[in-house]
Amino acid sequence: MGLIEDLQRGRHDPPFFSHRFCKRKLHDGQCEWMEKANATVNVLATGNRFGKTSVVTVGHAHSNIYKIGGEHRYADRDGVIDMEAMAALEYNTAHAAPSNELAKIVWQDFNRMRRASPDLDVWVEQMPRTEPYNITFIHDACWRIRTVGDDASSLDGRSNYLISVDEAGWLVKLEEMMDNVLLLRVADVRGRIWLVGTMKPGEVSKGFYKYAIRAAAGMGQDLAIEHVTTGKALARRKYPVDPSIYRYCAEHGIELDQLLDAVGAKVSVGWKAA
Amino acid sequence: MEGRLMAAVEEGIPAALALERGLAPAAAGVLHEDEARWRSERPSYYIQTGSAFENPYGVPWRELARLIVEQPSAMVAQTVFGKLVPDDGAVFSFELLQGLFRGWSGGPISSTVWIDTEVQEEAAATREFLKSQGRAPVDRFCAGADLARKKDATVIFVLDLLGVPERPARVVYYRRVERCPWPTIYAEIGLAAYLFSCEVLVDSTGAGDVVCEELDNRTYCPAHHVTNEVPNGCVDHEGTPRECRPADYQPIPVGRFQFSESTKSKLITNLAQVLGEGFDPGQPEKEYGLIRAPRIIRLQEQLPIYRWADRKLETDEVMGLSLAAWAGLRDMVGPASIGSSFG
Repeated sequence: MGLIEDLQRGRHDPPFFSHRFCKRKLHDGQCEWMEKANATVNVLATGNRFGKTSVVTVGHAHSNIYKIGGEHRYADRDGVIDMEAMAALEYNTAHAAPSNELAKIVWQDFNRMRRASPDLDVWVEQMPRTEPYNITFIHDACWRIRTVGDDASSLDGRSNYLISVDEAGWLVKLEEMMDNVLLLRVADVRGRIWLVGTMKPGEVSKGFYKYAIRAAAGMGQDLAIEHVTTGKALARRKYPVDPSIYRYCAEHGIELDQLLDAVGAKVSVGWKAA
Repeated sequence: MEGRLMAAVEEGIPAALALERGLAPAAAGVLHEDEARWRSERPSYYIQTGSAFENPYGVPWRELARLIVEQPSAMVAQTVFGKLVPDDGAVFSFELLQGLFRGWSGGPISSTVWIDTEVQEEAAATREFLKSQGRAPVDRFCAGADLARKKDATVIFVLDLLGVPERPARVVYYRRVERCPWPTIYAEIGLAAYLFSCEVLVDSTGAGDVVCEELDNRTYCPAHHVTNEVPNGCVDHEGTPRECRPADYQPIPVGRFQFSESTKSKLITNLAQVLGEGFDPGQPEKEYGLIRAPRIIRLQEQLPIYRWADRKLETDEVMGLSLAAWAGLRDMVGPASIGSSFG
């Protein structure tokens, strides 16, 4: 397929866009996120090393290049794009994290992507290495990368079609930030908010947890994100692993005993197998 | 133009039709026809969970297996599978939550009011019957109200005690009132007391004592949903008496709960004990707990992360439910069989 056809397909096929233009193959979970995370508030609450930050980078690239969410301002009823209108549309996205070190990970990630892909690099007008990190695209889209600070005030002032918050599990004041800044910053353009992170123990993640509960309720689901060590009594297993871990593995189609056998997991001295 | 569009919307004319008639949609915030074509109305929420196993380019499975075998299960649950892991500081374990919501088949409750209409109708019928007989109300229901402070909300819970302890008490009324003037709060407490003919246990600490005194000196008018100082009746803004019968005004029976470090500890401990009453670790499928509630989202949010140092936490629903449980269930529990009152 030619470049134009690939570009056309990439708008509606984010995993294809990622593979073709970002040179990054998304796994199934990331594909699902790219295809479905189109609500106003989207929560990605996973274990570590799921690929959360990576999918956020692809998401911003996709949003900015295609100006996702602004189609009604530059396309007619038949889907024909007015390139002048598209280029003229002011389009902003923002990515934030608790610290500068965390926030600039997506800048570095995108920099690697564009160096590896000339078809992606051609869209970038400038992305200076100096802080605050901004990535400007040739058609007047701008991706800002900031720290959230105490109150997310760094994100105030502009409408954003996409705001992502990485490591949201660390933000004690997440609820306040959402109420005072983030929801307002996407409201007038009907943008999206992506909250991504891992739950932390204690009250640190209370805001993230609340949004996870609300999101599950909003989707009509019960969210079993708790860790429960008691449960159905199981026969003594071969490995000294809590029955709950066996259950979590089964949820992902993994037979834990087989996995541990395959990797030659060692059993502690004194543990008697069933 | 805007006025015409608003009129069209109020008449129920679809946005697309309104466009054909030359009415600009943007003013009223109606989804532009073209926007609608590109995107259906955006849902409010989406959530996705996942584990480290899903990323084939992430941690090698051998390393994940090592983590699973060597690390505590709580850490594995969090770091590998993304589960929420409350630490030892949490007062209410997830088993207690599961018991609380067991049997609820409806959807989650995100609204600020919920009522079991069947039970409420039963209560109304019983009230009318007893009134006609000149008899006092029966003690079938109990209620608790946590009053709002500067920034939080007033929350009222009513429990149906029918059949306790053979069957659990059930939450039959939930009401959350935020940032409202005190007369509104008086009326809401009066409503709960009226609907279920019960005493409402109220936090009487500080300003709560004043509230309790006010409620002692007021009656509730079910016709207008207001309270009036005895012996006054309902009047409009010009002072003209409104059309309601003073004979229908209801007293507002109020109990007082004085918060202190020790009483609060007992209150919360009682709730934990009530929720865990009868729990058997060897038979986790066996029914346990003396309260059943609908899946009220704020309870789901607050209970798992509640800890003794709760100054910075949102605790309105926890306290409201605790007060209701104290009012009706504190003599029903034995020694705690699950969880820790020490956190």
